[in-house]
Amino acid sequence: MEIKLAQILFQMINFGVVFGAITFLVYKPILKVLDERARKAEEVDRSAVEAEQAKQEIESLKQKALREAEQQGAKIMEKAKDEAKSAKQKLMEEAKLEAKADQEKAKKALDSEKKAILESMRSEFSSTVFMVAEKLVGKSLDSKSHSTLIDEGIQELASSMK
Amino acid sequence: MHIVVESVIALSSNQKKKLADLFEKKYGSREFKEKIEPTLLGGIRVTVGSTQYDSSLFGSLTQMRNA
Repeated sequence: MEIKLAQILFQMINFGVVFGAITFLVYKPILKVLDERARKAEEVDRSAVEAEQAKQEIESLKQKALREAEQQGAKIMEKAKDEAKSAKQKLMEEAKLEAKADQEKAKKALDSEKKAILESMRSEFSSTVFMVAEKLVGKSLDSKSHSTLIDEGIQELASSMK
Repeated sequence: MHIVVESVIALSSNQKKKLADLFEKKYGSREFKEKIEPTLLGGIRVTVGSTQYDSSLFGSLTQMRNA
């Protein structure tokens, strides 16, 4: 068999050209496309990670805002409870004072009434005693007793005229 | 000086004399008017001008009532 050098050379050159053409026309663009895809994929991954981080941050802020709102709410409730308790206590104290004042007033009125009744009774009693004494004395004294009383009256007069 | 002596029964002469002596010493006059007043109940009441000296039983009872 004869080795045809020219043909081999031609084939080699042919191969080189085809290889070169394929490299420049196919391989490099394909590589470029693949690189581009890889870059895009990387970008998408990065975006996903960033989005996930942002989501977590938002979630964290949300939780924080929720906690703060709960705390605020609890504080407001506590304050409202304290104010209600304080108002209730104040009302109770006012009611107690009012009741005490009413009691005092009623007691004073009762005492006053009692005093008036006692005074009235005393006056009536005195009048009755006076009437009875008047009648008894009028009936029981004789001339001698009257004369003695007159003498005593004169002595009293003498003392008061000194 | 107008002096009135009120009593339940008439004054005895001794009593009149004692009163006259008293009035002469105090007012310079022995004269006085006698009046029978049963409401006094006992004792005497003497009125000298606008002043009254009440030694009657009625006066004593009234004082007790008003005390």
